[in-house]
Amino acid sequence: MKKTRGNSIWKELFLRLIHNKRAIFAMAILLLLILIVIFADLIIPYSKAVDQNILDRFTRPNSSHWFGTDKYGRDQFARTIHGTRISLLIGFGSATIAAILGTTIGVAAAYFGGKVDNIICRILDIWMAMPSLLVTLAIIAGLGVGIPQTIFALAFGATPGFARTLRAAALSVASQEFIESSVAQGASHGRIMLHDLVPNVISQILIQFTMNVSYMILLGSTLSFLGLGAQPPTPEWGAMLAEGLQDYQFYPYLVMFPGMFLALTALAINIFGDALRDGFDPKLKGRA
Amino acid sequence: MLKYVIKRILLMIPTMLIVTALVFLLINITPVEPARIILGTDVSEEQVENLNRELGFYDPLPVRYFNWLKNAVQGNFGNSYYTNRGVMEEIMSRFPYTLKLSLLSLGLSILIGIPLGVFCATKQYSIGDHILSVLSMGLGAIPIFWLGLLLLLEFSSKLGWFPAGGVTKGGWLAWVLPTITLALGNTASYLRYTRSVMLDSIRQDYIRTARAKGCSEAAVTWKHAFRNSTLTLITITGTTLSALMGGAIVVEQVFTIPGLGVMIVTAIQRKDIPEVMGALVFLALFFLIMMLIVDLLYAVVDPRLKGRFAVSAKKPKKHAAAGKKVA
Amino acid sequence: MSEKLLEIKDLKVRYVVGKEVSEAVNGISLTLNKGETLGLVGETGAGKTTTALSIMNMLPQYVSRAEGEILFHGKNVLKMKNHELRKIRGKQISMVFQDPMTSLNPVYRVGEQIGEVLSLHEGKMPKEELRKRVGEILEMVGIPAARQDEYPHQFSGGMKQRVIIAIAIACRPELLIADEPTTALDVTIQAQVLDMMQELRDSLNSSILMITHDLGIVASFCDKVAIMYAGEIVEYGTLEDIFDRTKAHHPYTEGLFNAIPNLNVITPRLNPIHGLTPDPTELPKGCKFHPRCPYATDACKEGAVPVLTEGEHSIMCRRVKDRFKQAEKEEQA
Repeated sequence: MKKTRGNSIWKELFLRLIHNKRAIFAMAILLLLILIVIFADLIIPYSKAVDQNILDRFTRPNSSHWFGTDKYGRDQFARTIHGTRISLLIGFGSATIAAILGTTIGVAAAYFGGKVDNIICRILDIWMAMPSLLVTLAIIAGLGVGIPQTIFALAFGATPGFARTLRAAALSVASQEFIESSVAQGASHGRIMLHDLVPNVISQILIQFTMNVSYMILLGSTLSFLGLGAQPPTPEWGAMLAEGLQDYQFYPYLVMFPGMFLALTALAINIFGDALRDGFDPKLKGRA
Repeated sequence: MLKYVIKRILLMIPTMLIVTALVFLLINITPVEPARIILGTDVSEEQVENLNRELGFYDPLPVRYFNWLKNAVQGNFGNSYYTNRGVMEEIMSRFPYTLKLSLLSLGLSILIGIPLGVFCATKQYSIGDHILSVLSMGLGAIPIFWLGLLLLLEFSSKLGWFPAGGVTKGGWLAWVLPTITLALGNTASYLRYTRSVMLDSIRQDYIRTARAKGCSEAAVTWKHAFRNSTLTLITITGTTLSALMGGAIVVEQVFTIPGLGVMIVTAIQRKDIPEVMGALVFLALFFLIMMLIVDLLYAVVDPRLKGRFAVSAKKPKKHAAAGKKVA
Repeated sequence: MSEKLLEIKDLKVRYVVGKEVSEAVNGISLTLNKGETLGLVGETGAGKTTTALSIMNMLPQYVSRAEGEILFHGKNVLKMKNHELRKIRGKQISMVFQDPMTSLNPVYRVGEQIGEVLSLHEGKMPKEELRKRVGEILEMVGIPAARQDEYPHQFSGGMKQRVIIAIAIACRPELLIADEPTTALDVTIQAQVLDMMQELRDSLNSSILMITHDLGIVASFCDKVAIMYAGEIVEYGTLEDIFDRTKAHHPYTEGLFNAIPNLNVITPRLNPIHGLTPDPTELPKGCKFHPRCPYATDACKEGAVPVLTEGEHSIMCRRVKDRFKQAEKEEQA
């Protein structure tokens, strides 16, 4: 059991993803976004995204300003492109922290069981007794606004949900014989959790992580939109939308482009997450 | 039944204590001197220090928490640093807007999302199912505030169907767009949940039994499959409520509705600690009460739980794998 | 000659999911007379349940295609409109399902579930009368009438199966399809349920289609037997025909009998049939049993398989004639 799931599961997953039209669409968009993140400075310099140019205010989309300019004359294309970096940083950053914390907590609860599991579950219950956005807002109220604070606050809100799912997944593995045999061989707790439990719940970790990334990107830009995330003049999609809100009646393009990027990114990641779930467990196909 | 209700309400007390303590701790990670905000900049350091001491700012955190708690249980959340208005009073004047918005859109998403989900499940793989599935997925990915903006732009500014001035002067018509905006996301998730839960139910053996009895398709769908799905749908309401409260904060901002969400956001930006604390705790309490109602509803609907009310209502697995059984 | 109740003519059922086509039933013909009990025997995946569901026209929508005719009282069930079907289901034809644990709706009282079939087919009746009727039916299957207010989770597996049987017989159907009614039950409970079904058959005078993989049940319960393999009926005959070990049989039937432990002979090992049930999406050409058949020749791998008929006894095998003759010769020699 220990090694049998090794390579074949990845190969199978890969084949299923390749044969899933939706997944290919999603992966193409994700690849494009990653390229944008890496080469943003080559596409258009960051200075264009923040430098004000009063002479060029409210230019409608044209050949020199593809997405037009805002009331400070800043190029919206540059802001959208560089906003990709910020939005993905917030999304992936907070989802990664939540995944690490959530996996540790969930796997530990499942592995140790008994009292430890009981206490962890109680803590998770209370942690989740509040809507995660309220927890996030409380942290931001305490830490103040800014990108690192946003990432931490979002991660803190998402961790208990992650831990719950991972605990459930790890619980079914923890009772299997190969774990006992590892214990019998004298392996340390940490080693067993890392080498035996985590690899067997990796599919759950990946699925949860992917779903969280898209949710965190949306939530992160929501916070920026509310003025509690990335602060001006940082180009962030949510913040751009908030600024555009003041002038959207006459210059609707101000809210069109960042919104489209945001929606498309979240959609692509969601579709990819769905495809991952189908790929790991084809029995669930067709379920939401 | 009564015993169970009382037990659940009593259980809320420790939860609420820990939640308030946690929120208090989080909000006060970095200390904010209240006197500096209240007195402004044109005062001496001594005055600042005096007022800070008077407000208990130099007390240790636990002492400050217990002082806050002592007042809170008497319904006193303190006064705003900025307006000096009672926080409770402020909350009470704003809460009706948030409540109305939430309930209206919850109702709308249930009324639309659930029947559409049932339709998709009974007509799985049909064109309608495909279209609705893709649509609901897309709606789930659209940020709520952007959607609100687009709706506002199209129907309010361009077509002028709905007043843009906000709900305070616009009458009931002004509620239409905010309600729809907040409802769309939840409608999509209700649709997806209902579809998936119904697909599970429809594949159960007792559905075959019902059909073999000679039940009409409508009776099979609603009386047998849907009745069983309600159990799971009720538990899902918790997630929905959580999303709803987050969404309400945003929608209030877009449509300038003077609800709790706007209050919290402004208070955080201004570091108005009593307002943030009061509003967050109030919303948390509201959420817990709603969850309690959901749990009680669950116990009423499920006959398997009726017999053992003493035991807490365990939630069933979301995706009970039900393989198709046709030999 | 007794009256024909059910006649299946060249029934073919395919499941189409995406590009995968699985051929579940491949041209079977069967006749069931009034008051008769027919045993349909075969492994899991042989198409037994599909056949049963076809008779009630209850195959899963969209993914299944059925061809051929299923005549019930001379009318084709497969061509019936929904409202016609609803009048037959539960009243004239009813079905007992394999898994009692999941075949009852968990949120309704068992009395309500039995009452539902009565109100569907006998019109609305006063509450008191309905309760009385439900109570009577429950007592027929050996459950106290007072238990009608309990929910399914309060019943044991065997009791649940009795409730399901109660639902099936509530309207005294002419045809009762029992799809492995005892497979999911403990051995002692199996015997009780079978005894009860036997009594019910005698008192109601229904025809029964008994689907099973247990030859013991067939021997004690059925008049006629059809052996099914990969969606075809490979052998059909009276109980005597099939259980007479001196007669010629289809190699698959022989395999089934060899796989049963015989208490009178000391066998060091049972003889299971080697290989697996063929994948219905990729059935072998020619005789579908040839990959597992010890007697198969190259001729078996292609073309249609002839059916050897002797009275009511028919065997679908190319080699059975040769083997039978050879055996006779050997005996004479």
